Amino acid sequence: MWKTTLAGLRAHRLRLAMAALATLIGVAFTSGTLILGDTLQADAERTVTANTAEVDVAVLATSGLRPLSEEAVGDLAALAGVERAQGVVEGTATLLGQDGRPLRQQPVAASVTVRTATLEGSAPDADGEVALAGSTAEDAGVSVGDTVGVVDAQGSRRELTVTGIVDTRGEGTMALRGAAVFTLPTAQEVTGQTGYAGIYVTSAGPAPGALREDVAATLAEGDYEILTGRQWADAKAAGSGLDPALVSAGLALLALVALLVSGLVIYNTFSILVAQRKRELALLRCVGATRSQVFGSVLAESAALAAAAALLGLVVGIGAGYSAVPVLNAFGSDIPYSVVTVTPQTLAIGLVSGFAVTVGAAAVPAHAATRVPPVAALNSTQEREAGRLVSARGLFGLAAAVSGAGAAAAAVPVLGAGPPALTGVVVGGMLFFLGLVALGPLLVRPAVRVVGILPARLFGTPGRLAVANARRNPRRAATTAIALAVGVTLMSGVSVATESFEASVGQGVEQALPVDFMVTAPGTAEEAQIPPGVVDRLRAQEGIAETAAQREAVVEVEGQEAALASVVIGGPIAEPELITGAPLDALGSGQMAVTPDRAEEFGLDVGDTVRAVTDRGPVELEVASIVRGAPFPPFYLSEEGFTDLFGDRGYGAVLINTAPGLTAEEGRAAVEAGTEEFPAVTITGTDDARQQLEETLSNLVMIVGGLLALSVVVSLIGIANTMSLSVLERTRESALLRALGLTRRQLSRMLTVEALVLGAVGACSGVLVGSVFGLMAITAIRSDAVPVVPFGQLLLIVAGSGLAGMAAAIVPARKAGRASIVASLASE
Amino acid sequence: MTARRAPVVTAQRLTKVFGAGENAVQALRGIDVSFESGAFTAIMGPSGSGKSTLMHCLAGLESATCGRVEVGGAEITGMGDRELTMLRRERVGFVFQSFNLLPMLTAEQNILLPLEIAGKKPDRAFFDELAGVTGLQKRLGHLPSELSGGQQQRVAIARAFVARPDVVFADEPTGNLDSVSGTGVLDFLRTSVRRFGQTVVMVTHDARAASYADRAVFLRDGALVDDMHEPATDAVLQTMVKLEV
Repeated sequence: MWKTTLAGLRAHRLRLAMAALATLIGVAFTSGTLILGDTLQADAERTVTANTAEVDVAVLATSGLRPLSEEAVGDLAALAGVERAQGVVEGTATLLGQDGRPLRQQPVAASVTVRTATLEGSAPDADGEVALAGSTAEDAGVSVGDTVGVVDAQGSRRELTVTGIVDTRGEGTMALRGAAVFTLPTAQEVTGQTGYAGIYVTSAGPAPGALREDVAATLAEGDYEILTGRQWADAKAAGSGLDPALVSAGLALLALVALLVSGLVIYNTFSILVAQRKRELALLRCVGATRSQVFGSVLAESAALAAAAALLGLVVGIGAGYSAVPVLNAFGSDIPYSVVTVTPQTLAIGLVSGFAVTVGAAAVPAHAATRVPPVAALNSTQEREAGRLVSARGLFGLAAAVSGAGAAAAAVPVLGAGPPALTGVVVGGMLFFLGLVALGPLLVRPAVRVVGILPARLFGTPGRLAVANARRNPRRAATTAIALAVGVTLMSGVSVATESFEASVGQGVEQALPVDFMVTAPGTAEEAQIPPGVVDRLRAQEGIAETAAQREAVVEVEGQEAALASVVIGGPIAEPELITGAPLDALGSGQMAVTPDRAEEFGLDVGDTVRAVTDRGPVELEVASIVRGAPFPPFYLSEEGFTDLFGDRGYGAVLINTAPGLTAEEGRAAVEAGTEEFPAVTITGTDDARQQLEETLSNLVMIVGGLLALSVVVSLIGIANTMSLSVLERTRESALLRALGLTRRQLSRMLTVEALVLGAVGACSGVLVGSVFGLMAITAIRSDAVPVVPFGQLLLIVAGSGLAGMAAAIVPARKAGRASIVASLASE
Repeated sequence: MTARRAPVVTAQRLTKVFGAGENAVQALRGIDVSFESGAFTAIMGPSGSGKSTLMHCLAGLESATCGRVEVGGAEITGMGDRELTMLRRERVGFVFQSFNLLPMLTAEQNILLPLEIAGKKPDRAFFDELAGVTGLQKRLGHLPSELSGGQQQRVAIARAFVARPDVVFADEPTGNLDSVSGTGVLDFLRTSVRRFGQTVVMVTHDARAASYADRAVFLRDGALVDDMHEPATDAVLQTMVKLEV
């Protein structure tokens, strides 16, 4: 049989090449994704480890309010086995850009420590020096050697020399917001912090674990955690937002999707191949081959093909893994080629899965082919009729689809929004899709009929014939459409979920900051407050419609930080709703109004007395009323009451509504003009937060969407395969149509429209399923979700997939158009 | 209808050579033949005599190497693909040995397909009459797979007639049928020719099939060797036996 097998391979070179292409791309995609995941993980490991290597034990304050004291640093420095104990000051720096205004993105301010590493230049050495993160230096428009303006906690401006660019990789907020690193005294002056956010301990000999015990024994009880360097590295890796383990799990999931899609494509290709060769196989049976010999021959053929294609695919996948490096580097990472990780596991998974999927996909139709009595197969000139469609498979599909939809729909009402509900939706979605796969052959005819209405009208006779053709082999059509639907479902699900997420967060921002702009003082110290003259100027500024200035002072209430505030009602601040107690204008000195959520948090009610610690000492305040308003300060004092406690100080924040019709940029210009005299203020626009979120999300969507698009490419190869094989199969039919007067162009159009219809069925069902489950997923993630369906994007996905499907059929369609009528009529 | 019968299809010195150089095969060697309007003609000949090639050249499916072919007064030799397509659409109908119905269309849709392709409105009365002659009125909504071979071939013949082309070419229309179905199909073909005045040219090697025709022309090695009017089965058989030797 081996000779026959090899001869078969040679004879069907072209057709098998298509099946091989599907395997190759599937394996390449799978192994490439796995390699990318491993590489990202290795890179994260590398940066985080390098980053915490200098520190043996870290003491980290968990509350910003109660930093670690100078004594704690001293105590640890004196501890036996400690080489060095170094406190780090952290806060926010108000850096000035080239225009003399604070940067929109205020960097993290920190004091220089053993962990400070520079990419360029050196760490600050003297008090007039600063090292910046790359992004911060770019924002401020400075490079090493330039000077940069900084507003310190007292509100006064100073000029510092930039000595270097610091490395912020693996540093969480610093990587995200940028950083400015100063010497310890300067950091204290800039941030106004006297305590330390953390203490870094280096060992003089003891193991980190042992040293950690000693450190814990030395320090008094307090709000801090003590970690070894390694523990800290792990915690940082997990907390860095893009958890590498999560990323590679996500990538592995995508690899699974790739494998599923290529499995479907391979299965379809082999089904058609074997169906076409049924006569040939029957002939083998007639000349004496046993059923198992025939089956074995087809399997051997697919195994040979699978092995070759999987190996090639692996090579392509590894190549893709390496070529991702320059791409990632273009996006700002600095992964070296040496970090690209190709594990034996990846190789094994890629090879075995590609091989197994291919042979498995070939085995099913091969087995079916051997069931046909040889004489019947030889005599049949008719296309094989699709078998009974309602069967165990249909019932299973229905059960899976119904239970999947039910589980997903019930997840949120039963479990409430949260990770378990999300799991419910995802599992339900997978189950539903599985049901869809099983039900596909039953659903595809009505689906083609619906989707085909438009093409049948638009493309005349070829269009109507195309729609009829798309319906004639439901199994094949369903598999082809579903392969495309997998990728499209995920793409539209991601699109709907992120769009809704953006809208939900946007609404949250709107609620939290229901004004156009907020101008905040550079610090909480009395000297850093906004002077009344600035508020007057803002009020008079053209383009500014309404302002509300708020005085505020940070105090400690029952051990928690709280801001007492006083604001004149009117403008952006509407009269709040009085829930209980005295009306606001009746509030006297020593009385305050509290919002309901704070009242609940602190367990307060009207008549209760609160002890607040101000920088002038403790005071007693009586809760006079509970009010609800948005925006409204959580702890409200009357103007007189505030002055009694804190004296006549400036304003902590000014809420501004700009004139209607102004764009965000024009509004910002007006606010900037109004605050010219006091440039150290921070101007926050409602749009900034939204924009930032949108940028972050759109990057994520781009990456995920790009990877999913690859799976769509695989399914397009499926469409091309199905169409070319259908063209081969219908050679005689095409010739007949030409004999009846169909032009070459019309014949090609008929085939491309058929591909368009199949593509559109896959894309439409994918978009439908993806949108519904995407919406369910977002309601499972956030209880305050705002469902948004991005019709434009979804339409683009459908149109793109349909057209791509059409493009996939161009080559086979042209080939069919060029074939000779007489020769084709004679062909079997 | 029986006025002066003008030729619908004419071939003059029609020659067809397949291949080139040493491998060249001369399939047709300068054939002169014409087919009259409203006549049912059989082209006969043993295997390899060139009868199928002749039909293909007359129908514009194959281009002639030299010589000239006219269909309905238009010279088709030298026509481009587009013109030939229009010729097939407007002036020529086909019936094949293996029926060649489109499996996804019903019998009625199959019959009306040429009109649909040409973008013409079907003449309902003519269609009903045609369907009446086929005896398939009750099966028009069925798919080809639900019809017998004879029924399928009758659908194929109705399809060839529906656009009232200048000429219908039938290539071994009974070749895939048992004798009972074959007789039915031939009866139907002859009835239709008489009733609708349709010109039919049929290629066959079956003497009985030829006996249904008004005229039989005989080919051997690419040349016309005999021309018989009102052929009877016996006469055809004798001629064929002579040709086979």
